[in-house]
Amino acid sequence: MIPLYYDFQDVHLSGTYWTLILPQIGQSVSLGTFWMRAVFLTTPRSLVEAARIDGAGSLRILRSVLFPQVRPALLTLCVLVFMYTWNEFLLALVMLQGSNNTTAPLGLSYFAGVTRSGDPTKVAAAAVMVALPVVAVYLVLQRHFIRGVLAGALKG
Amino acid sequence: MTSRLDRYSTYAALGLFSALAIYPLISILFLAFHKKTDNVTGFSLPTTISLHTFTAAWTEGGFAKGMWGSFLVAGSVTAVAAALSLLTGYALGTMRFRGSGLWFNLLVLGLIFRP
Repeated sequence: MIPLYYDFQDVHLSGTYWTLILPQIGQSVSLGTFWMRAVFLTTPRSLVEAARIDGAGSLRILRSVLFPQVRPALLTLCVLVFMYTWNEFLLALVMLQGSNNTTAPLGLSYFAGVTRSGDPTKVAAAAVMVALPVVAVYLVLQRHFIRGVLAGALKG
Repeated sequence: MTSRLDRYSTYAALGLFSALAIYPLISILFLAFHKKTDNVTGFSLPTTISLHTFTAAWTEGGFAKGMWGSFLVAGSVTAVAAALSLLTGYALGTMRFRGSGLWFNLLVLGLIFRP
């Protein structure tokens, strides 16, 4: 993380949101590749072959044949990545120090520092507000989430 | 068929563990609905039904900017990472090409070495 900080300083990006977006895309694509490869391995091979015989190209197969099958898993991945990214604290703390930009979890750290002996009710309120978007995203995608987690549990 | 005892004990166990999981969340939520002078320790029911603590925390913590920043970062990371993962997963999961094993292992290295 420290070398990363200096790397971003070299390319004059330190303190911007790019310092959070770019490393976390890299991190999430690792997880996502691992995840989506496992999902695509469970799709029947004969389906792809049949589509190919019908003259569909690679992108056409992905869009029309395989995408409907992997959609639950992809949405599950979206929930997970959103959750991890939203809750990221250390990276934001290091990268955004001394800049005007901030994230919601960093707003929480304000209460830990300045007003530690202050008002616990405000800290609780802030914690609830920071947790709320993740809960909302989870609730919206919950049906897909459960379906995606179960996908591949049984071989039919 | 499961016996009635079976079913009730299942519900009891599930209820117990969900209560254990929800208890700290509820106590934090209720804590936000107290006045500063209440000196709350642990779990206690709300005394004031007002959003005053929330609005105060919103302005003091600078959450207007913080929330926007978080949405920007989390939203763009999720969108880009999902699109890229779909394509890499498609290629590595359904196609065979030279060096596919190497590419996969290189990408998964990112799971082991965190920045």
